[in-house]
This record gives sequence, C-alpha cells and structure tokens, in this order.
Amino acid sequence: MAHVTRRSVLAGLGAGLAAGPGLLRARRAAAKKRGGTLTVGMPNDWNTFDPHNLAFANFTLQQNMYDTLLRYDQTLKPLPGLAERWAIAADGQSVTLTLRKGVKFHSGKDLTAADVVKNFEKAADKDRGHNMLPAVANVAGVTAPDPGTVVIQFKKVSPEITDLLQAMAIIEPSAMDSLKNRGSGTGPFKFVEWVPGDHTTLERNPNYWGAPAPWVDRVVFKVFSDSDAMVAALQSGICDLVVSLPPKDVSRLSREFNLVRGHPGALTYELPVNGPQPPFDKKEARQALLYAMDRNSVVENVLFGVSQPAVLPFSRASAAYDPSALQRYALDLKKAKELLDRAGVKGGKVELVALPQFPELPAIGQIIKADLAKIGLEVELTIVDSTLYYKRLLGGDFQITTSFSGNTQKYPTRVSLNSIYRTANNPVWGNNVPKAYVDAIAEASGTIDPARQKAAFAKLNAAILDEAWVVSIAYRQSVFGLAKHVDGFAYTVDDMSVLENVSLEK
Amino acid sequence: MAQYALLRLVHALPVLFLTSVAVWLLVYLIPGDPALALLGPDVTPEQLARARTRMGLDQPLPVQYALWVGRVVKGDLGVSYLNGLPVRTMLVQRIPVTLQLTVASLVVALLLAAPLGIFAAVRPRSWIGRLASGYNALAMAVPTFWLGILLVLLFGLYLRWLPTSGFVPVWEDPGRAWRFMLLPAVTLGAYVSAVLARFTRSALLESLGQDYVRTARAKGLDERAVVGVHALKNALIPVVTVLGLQFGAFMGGAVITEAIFDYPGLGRMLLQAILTRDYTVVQGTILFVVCAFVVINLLTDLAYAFLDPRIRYS
Repeated sequence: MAHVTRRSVLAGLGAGLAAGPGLLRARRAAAKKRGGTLTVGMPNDWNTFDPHNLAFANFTLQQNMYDTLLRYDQTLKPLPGLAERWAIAADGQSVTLTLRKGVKFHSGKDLTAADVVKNFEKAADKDRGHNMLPAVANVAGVTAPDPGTVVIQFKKVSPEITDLLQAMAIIEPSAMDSLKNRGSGTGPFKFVEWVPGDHTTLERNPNYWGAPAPWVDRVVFKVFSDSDAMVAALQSGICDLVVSLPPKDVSRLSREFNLVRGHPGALTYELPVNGPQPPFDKKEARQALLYAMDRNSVVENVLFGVSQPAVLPFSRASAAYDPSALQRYALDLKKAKELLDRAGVKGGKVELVALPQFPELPAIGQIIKADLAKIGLEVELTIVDSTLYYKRLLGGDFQITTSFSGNTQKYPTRVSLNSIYRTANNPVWGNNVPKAYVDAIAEASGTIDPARQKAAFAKLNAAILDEAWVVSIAYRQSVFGLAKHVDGFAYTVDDMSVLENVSLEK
Repeated sequence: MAQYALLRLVHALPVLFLTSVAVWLLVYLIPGDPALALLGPDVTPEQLARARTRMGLDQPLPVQYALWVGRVVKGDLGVSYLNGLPVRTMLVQRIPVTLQLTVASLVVALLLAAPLGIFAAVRPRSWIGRLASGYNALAMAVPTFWLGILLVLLFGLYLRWLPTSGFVPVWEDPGRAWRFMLLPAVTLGAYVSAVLARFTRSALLESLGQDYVRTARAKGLDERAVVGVHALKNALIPVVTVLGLQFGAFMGGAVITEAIFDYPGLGRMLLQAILTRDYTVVQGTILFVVCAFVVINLLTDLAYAFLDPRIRYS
C-alpha cells in the first residue's frame, strides 16, 4: 500500500533528500536558457494571495510565490522543501523539522523557525486560518528550540503529518496582514503587480534557495473569462502556457503543443445527494444513483477521454484506492430501478443544481439527466452563479448537484476537509452524519498501524458506498497546454503549476 | 451656456442618487454573499459568520447604504470586499482602457458610416447605395459575439496578422496598441456603423429635400459643397445623438466583446463584481457609468448648438 511505503520512508528521517530540491527537471541546468517573460493563461483569477486559502482558483499561484515545508513527488513520496530533514517520533505524536539554511523571504529577511511558528499560529486562527484551520486542528503546539529547528506536537497520534507539512506554505509574517492583494514568501518568484480580473505579474526572486532556478525573469498570469479566448491566445502565441485546458480542445491541440496531463485524481467529480431530504431520504434511493450513472459516457462525451471513471473519491495514489469498486458498481439500470422501488420512489422530478464556472459540471449534469430518465426520474437542470451556488450547497438547499472534491489522493481522512464529506457541520447532514462514516474517519485518523489503517479504509469505503450521499463519477485530470518553446514545466500532486524550472527555449 | 451646463449637472444629482439606491437594492436582491465568494465551498458556518461580521455584511441594509453614501460624498468609494483594493484605484486602472476601446470603436464606426451613409443618400439607386444598404442590414443582423469569434479565427488564428487578445495602452506604444485594438474595435464598431449610416442616410435625404439646399444649388454651388457644407452639417444632429448614446453605452462596458478579446475593461470588472456580489465595486462602477452618461448627454446637447446656430441655451 502506498501509505506504508510513505511511512517507511519517513521513518528513515528524510530519505527524500537525495531527490534534490527540483521537481521533474526536464533538462540539465547548463543547457537551459535564462531570461524572458513567461505568459500563463488561466480561466480564473485568484481572490487572495494567502496560500492557506486552498481554493482551486489559487492553485496556479501558490507554488510559485511560496514554498511548503515538504513536497511530494507524483507517488506521494515526501521530498525536502523548506524543511531539509524531518523526524517523526515513534509514537506519531510529534515531528522535528530541520529547516533549510540560507532561505530568504522576498524582502531579503532570513527564514527562521520563529517564522514557521507564526505561520502555524495563523493557520490555527479562526479568522485567518482558512483551509489550514481544520488541517492544524490536531496540533497541540509548535515551538522553535533554535532558529533552524521546529518541533510540532500533536494532541493525538497523527497519520497525516506529511500531508500537513506538504500543505503548509510559509508566508513572511510581516506580509500576513496584506494577503488580500499582495504577498511575500520564499518561492522562486516575487510579487510585482495585481490587476484583479486581468493579470498578475511576478518577477524572479534573486535570492531563491533553489538557484540557479528560476530561469525566466518575469511571469505574467493572464485571466481569461472565456476559455475559448484562452485557447486562442495559446494558439496565436500570446500565451506560452495555459492551465486547465478544456478537455474538448485536447485532441485538436495535441500536435501543435506539448500537452501535459496533471496528476490523475487530484480532484474527483461527484454528484452530492441531499440525503436527509425526499426523494433521497432512504439510502436505497441514493444507492440507485450509484448504479444508474453511466460514468464511461461522462468520460467519453464530456471529458473527452481526459479522465477515468470513479466510484469512490480516492484515486490511484491513495491508500484507500479500491479498483474493484468500479466493477461492483458498474452501470446496471435494472438494479437501480429495483433499489428505487425498494425505497418507494415512483418517478418524479428532481432538481440538479450546477455551477457554470466549470463548463464540464453542467455538461455532466446533462448526462446524468439522461441517465436518471431511464429509471423514471425527471431531472431539471438549474444553473446558478458561484455565490448563489455556494450558498445553496452549504445551506443544504439542493436535491442533487454536480461538484468535485479535493485531497482525494492523500491520507484518506483528508477527504473530510471537503464540506460534503465533513463529519460535523455537514451541509446536508448537519451534525447527524452517518455514524459508520464518522467512526471510520475517527478510526483511520487515530492509528499509525498499517494493518489497522487498512481495515479502517475498507470501512470508510464501505460507509461511503452504503450511505451514498456522494456519488463519485470520474477523476479530474488537469491538462496544461505548453508552447513548444516552454521547457521544464512541472505540477504537484494537487495539480498546482510549478514554474521554477521553466525556461523559454526560443 | 455655462449656466445651462451647471444647471444640468445639478439636475443630475437626483438621478445619481436614485440610480445608486436602485442598484444597491437590485444587487442585494440577488441571492448570494460576497463572503462565500471569498471563502469558497469548504468554509465552515463559523468562519462564514466571522467573515460577514468583518466585512460589515451583518449590518442592516439601510445602515450599509448610509455608510457607503457617507464615504462617497467624501470622495471615498470604499474598498473591494474581495481583494481589499480601493474601488477608485480599480476604476482608475479600467477607465482609460475602456475609453481607448470606446474611442477606437467609434472611430471605426464613423469611418465606415460616413461614406456609406452619404453615398446611400446622394446616390440611392447606384451600386454603392445598394452596397451600403446591404452592409447596414448585415452589420445590424450579425451578433457581436459571432463577428468577434469570426475575426479571431480569420485574422488571429488563420492569417496570424493580428493578436487575438490583450491590451496595450496607446500612450505607451501606439504602434502596438492599434494592432491589439483593431479586432475588438471593428467588432464593436460594426453594429454602430450600420446604425450611424442609416441615421446619416435618412437625415441627409431629408436635408437634401429642404429649400435651403435647392437655393444653394440654384446659386450654382458645386454639388460637393451643397452636400458637405450645407446639407450634411444640418443632418448631423441625429447622428451626434446616436454617437453620444453609443459612447455612453460603451463606457458602461462591452462585456461580450471584452470576454472574447480578453480586454480588461470596465464591463468585465463590473460583471465579475456582480457575480461575486462585490457590492462596493458594483456601486462605484455604476456611479461612474451614470456620471459618464450625464456628462456625455450634456456634451451632446452642447454639440447641437455648435452644429446648428439656431439652437440657443439660455
């Protein structure tokens, strides 16, 4: 199992050091060209420069302005980041980090252990912690015994230590109050300008610890409110690189450009179902959706083959990945109809709410509409803008919706950071989340024993499939479009762009 | 005339007030929450409540409005809920961009409309007159987004003559600016050129049938002077009216054209602010657009007096 490998690597106190600081370097430094401006097209602007806000829209920025304490390679093997070495205590309740020497913030100030402590304090702050707040909920305290060492104590045994360190980006403390519209970290590029809704400009950080990277002098991130305009900008040479290339364009552009497929399963497309409300208040009605879903049709017709079908949120790199589930929950309309009958659901109308910001979500909704019509459910598709969508999603004001969850490739309990998978304050269940699921999460969170973890993951998968309030559909795979002269591009397991080794070979 | 202009500006104050109230109420009537737009779908109820308090969104609607008006009268349009930037700074960034596109579009429209409208009026049955009528019908019928996409495909991707998106300020690099400007300006200008050409044609036809034109011809004036100096000047009043209205409309933003050409104008900023319920940015932008309309209408009225000396403002 992948997690066993990772844990054994960690027990070796930083064995990943040998892998070096760079990710997926494509060619030797001596051969790379230096200079130039890299223009990156993206479909959404970020709404903050705070790397502790892990909104999908912010992914393109984070690895380029900030560094995390650890990095993962594509198999989720931990590599050194700002922490050069890490030693997890045998009881799994603390970790000691040795910081890399000579790291400077963009202001020129040295990175010290005290700065890392301040970042953990920010993450634990209810107003400033954002997505890192639940991630540090198990942290009892963070201390800095000397300027190069950080010790993190946990309240109880933590199997998610490397996930936490991989997610924890370090911000310059003096910049923490201005993260709404600028930022400062230790990453390869530093902030120059942000024109919201139009572009952000970063420039080379001359003090970068990963020297000789970065290779380009400037990076301009351009926002395109229309994805076709973004693709046209790549084709006409205005952009050197685009992120989130629409799946429909992948085949057409594959000869002219280098298309890089991201980590398979950084996110999982899904159909959240409002469990407590009719007509899905009986679990048989929800289970019927598992069998009624033509996942292959979604993959072929909406995602144009740039994806794989999914029945559970956990992708191939996850320790909870269960390849047999796809066969067990293959399309079976007869069984779906039987389950609906057993739940006492005799046809009727169902509203499916979709977000247009990601065009594939309403398109997946159309396929689901056709699928559910075959078992007698008439789906009415409602498309609403993002603020209204989030309001309805978090308020539990929907019957079914198309969405996606993240963190599905890391330690499996991290799935509960997604609102629909929360064990409390859940948008549809409130605090009455199915007990089998809550217990499985608690069991998996509370052990570092591989055998007990394996058993807990099996229970977790069984609970998700049995209660079926989230019907997984397909793993999302980002596609990055690169002009032929762009070299050295990399991405993280979260599909965040890594530009430190990009050079313009023209 | 100065007194008239001042009076018009004073009369604009109630318009500004009523517009701001209407926009404020309309934006608040749309369900949604800027705190949610900021924090995303994984926010906890507690985090959301704290963010709403921090942003002042837990205050009653009239209180929020009164606070906003209080700041505006002091010249402070507030800061964006989402990015914390002053709304005034955001407007200062976008207004020149939109102004550049507006002027370029109207120049394109006038360059097309003037000859077409004049020839269609002077030689209505000639081939050029028929061509003008055909162009007008086509340019008015073709949707702007479709024309924009066609221009991108033809000139940007197939011929590779012009960039498909982006913006260069004309005051920084005029040579590059026009290359980036041409396709969006033609896209926006095409429809307006047809409207202007129609107005020019009908107004000029009417002028050409007037007694003073017959007199000018009877005096033995050259036909070009009759049309250009006597008839056209009097025919320009409706054309100026249309031009003024279009100028105001374009200053409000041409959202679709801006999206197709990734043009960083006011329209895209306003649309984004509406989608994220960034109330202060919506209000500030609408306030500017209404002000622009008021000023442009005033300038249009003043232009009437310049074109027709019989018109006096007192």
